[in-house]
Amino acid sequence: MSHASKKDARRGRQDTKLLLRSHTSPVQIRAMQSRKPPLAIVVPGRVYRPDAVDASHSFMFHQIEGFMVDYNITFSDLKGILEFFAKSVFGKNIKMRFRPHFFPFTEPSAEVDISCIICKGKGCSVCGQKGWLEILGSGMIHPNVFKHVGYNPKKYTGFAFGMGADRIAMLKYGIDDIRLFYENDLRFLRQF
Amino acid sequence: MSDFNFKDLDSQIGQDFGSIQDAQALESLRVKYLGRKGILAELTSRISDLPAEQRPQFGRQVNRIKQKISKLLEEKRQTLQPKPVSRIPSPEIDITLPGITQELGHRHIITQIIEEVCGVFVRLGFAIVEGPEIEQNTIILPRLISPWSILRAMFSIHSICVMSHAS
Repeated sequence: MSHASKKDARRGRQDTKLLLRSHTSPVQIRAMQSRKPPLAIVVPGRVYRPDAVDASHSFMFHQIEGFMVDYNITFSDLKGILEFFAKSVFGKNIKMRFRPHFFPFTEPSAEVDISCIICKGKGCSVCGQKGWLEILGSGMIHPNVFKHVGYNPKKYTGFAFGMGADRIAMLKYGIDDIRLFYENDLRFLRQF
Repeated sequence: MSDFNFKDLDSQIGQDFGSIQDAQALESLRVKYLGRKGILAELTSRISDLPAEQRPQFGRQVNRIKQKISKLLEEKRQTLQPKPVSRIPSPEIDITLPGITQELGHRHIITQIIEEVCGVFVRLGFAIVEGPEIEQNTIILPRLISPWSILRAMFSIHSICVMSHAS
């Protein structure tokens, strides 16, 4: 962070600049601004972070976010839909759990784990002996987000979730290095 | 019978072979002269009808014509069909080996995963929406709830842009 922007942050001012997006949430905001509920939208896309590249980090990766807004959307809707998703992608026999967490744009928020697909929950090197694998973040959309896009937060509720497509692929196929996706090694890519 | 005009036949042959353009026409000429019911077969069959003293003379003429036509056929065949041997670039290349095939590509694993995941949600009635990869910072992190600095730390965002050139 530059000195000038630190000052701006303290003063509460923010200059408008163009940046590579660090998540796909801007698409959600724009979608809500240009449409009216009921909404059920998924947003796939490439995102960028200033992270050093290693086996589990990449400066560029892929996110899939989704959200649903309407009257009476509840946390049970979120649970039902995410369970359907997890079982469709990882198999019917997995277990799923919600872990309380903090995200700035949802309240309450939760991270979602599935039982480790390698050891079935017993504990192995893939899940770090925990028996669970974190697959996504989720929560009920914060009323301030609705105000920001011009929806009445007393009228509407909704949930949102987001996951890393690269991470899902790594978990699903037991790939231990994110860099493999971007090295264009046909011996690797041909397997899928 | 012995007064068969070999000179006419000679000039006829010259004309026929001179105007030839393709291998098919050449083949029909071969049939015309050397075929089983061709002109030379007919001439040969006449030999037995000739008086004995004329036979050797007549036979020599027929043989001469036959050789002439064989030679012309061979010459024409060479000029109409380029020698197949000349198409082989070098004797070390085995032209009977299979060619170099172009491999078919396929979708990247990440694309497949995105399609699989989005497919699940589309089945549940979700719509797919995409947006620009370059966005305004105020939309990437709207100052709605948490202080800007917390957001920035959480999403490891810098307020500097990626440089588009090295100057």
